[in-house]
Amino acid sequence: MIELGVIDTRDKILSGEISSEQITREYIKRIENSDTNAVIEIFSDAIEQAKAIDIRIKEGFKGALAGVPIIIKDNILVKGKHASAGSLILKDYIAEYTSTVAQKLIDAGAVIIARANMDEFAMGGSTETSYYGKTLNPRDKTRVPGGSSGGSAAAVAEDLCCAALGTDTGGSIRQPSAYCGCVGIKPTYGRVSRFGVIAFASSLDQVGPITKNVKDNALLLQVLSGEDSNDETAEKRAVEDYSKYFNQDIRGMKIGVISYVDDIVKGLDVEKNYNDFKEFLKANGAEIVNVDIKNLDLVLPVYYIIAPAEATSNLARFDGVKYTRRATDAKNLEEIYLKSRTEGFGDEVKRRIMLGNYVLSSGYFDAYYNKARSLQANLREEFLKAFKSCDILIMPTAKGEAYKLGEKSNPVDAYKEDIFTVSANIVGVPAMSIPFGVGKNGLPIGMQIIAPHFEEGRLYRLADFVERRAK
Amino acid sequence: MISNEEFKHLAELSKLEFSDVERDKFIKDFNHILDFASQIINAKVEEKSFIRSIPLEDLREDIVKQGLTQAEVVSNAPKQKKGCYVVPRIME
Repeated sequence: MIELGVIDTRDKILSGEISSEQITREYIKRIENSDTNAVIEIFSDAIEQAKAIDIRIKEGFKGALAGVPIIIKDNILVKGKHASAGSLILKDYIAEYTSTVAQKLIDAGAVIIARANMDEFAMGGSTETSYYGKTLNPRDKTRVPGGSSGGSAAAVAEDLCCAALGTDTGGSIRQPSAYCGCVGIKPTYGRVSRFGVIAFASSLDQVGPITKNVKDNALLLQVLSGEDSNDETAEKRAVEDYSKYFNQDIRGMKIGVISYVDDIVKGLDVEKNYNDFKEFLKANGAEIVNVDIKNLDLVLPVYYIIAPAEATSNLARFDGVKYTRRATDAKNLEEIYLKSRTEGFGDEVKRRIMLGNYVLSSGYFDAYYNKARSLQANLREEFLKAFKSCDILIMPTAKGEAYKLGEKSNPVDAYKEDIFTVSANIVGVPAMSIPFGVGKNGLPIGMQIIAPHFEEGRLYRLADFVERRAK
Repeated sequence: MISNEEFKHLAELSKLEFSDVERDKFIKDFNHILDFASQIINAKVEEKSFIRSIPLEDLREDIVKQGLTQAEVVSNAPKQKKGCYVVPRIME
């Protein structure tokens, strides 16, 4: 077993204890023997990538991720490799260019070994809607790994790689991280470039790392962050060295607890862990502050209006003309559109396209879309106000442990699972899920910590403390 | 609640087809979702919008650089010819 994270692996490779090729071969063997369906494809050049890095290391290369095998979600482009966003419609798509995040991994010396399974176009919270079939939670194979980055989180939990990249539009990094016992961060909107990442809802999407520990997570985010001339939403801000936040205490830190969250947590499986988390923070010198966020009870409908509206526009490009798959029996252009999309998209994607078109159509635009945007702006102000009285907000990541495969077949029930995660995307703030205890079946539970825009450092300070000190 | 007619119109806008059986299930789910989304309609909230502004000095220099070639752009198309997408004749 190699249960090493990113930093440990890199250090062993740089010290010559193991080679990147050796560890890459080991991981490939594990992926081949795995039955969780976390991985869609092992990249055929993985060993060559590792060999090339080993040569560079001998020549003195000391990249932050030198030789470290990493898995990426199936919606992140690497030139010449397949990327399908878990959808039949993109099954044969081969990227014409490399995403900024993948390029940053490559520049830092990582070996991109495989692409991970995901809910189709990242729409879902269970990785059950993928064209490539369900991914199983490696900690209990009768349960979902969460989603949409379920393959990435499962691969990290099962130790099929040192770390993985996910994307998060409404909780898609944090919730699978919680269900699989990993550390996952959705960075501030604008911290990480989205160039070359297949879009779901462009104003909410962010790429982030899913890791085995907090320090690995910080290192990866540091590598991924920064401005990008190919994505104007990636902000021009200095990239921080997050290691300066490690090994500190949390004395005097003001932890905000939202009364609405306290109310809905009552009676949920996660209640005990949430209360334990508050006690743990208090016992270690943090101050608990009660805050109110007006209209937080409406954040789910706001999300399920804005995200599908953007998805509808983003998915209009898949029309049977530009990308790989065209229905074979289409007789004219209109039929190409209709049949290619009808065959190529799964039910959940179709539902969201329809919903997006509904809220954007005349007659409903003001009542739904504009109203949701107003609420979004108001919620943003409410969060900024709350952060005047606290440093970090806390809430659970999910309602409890990972649920059973097939359990949430009703769309609205599935949407309601996102209650704790969507607000960070709607408001644009960074949010992280860290493991904190287990539930009644002994499966991991995640706690979510949320900071103001671009204050990821605060999250790493608290997360690192929890990781070192919590039992 | 949406009617069969409205559903048909939405499907046309979305460029999606549904069989009769699929349609009934979709309408049921869709109405359930709309019911859920409609919670916001009566929310009393100040009209606002948040638009991130980009400082002009943050824009990159306007320098022409080599992007993807035409061949690369159409490389994933199901049908292509001389760097163009090929579709069935539109004019009879």
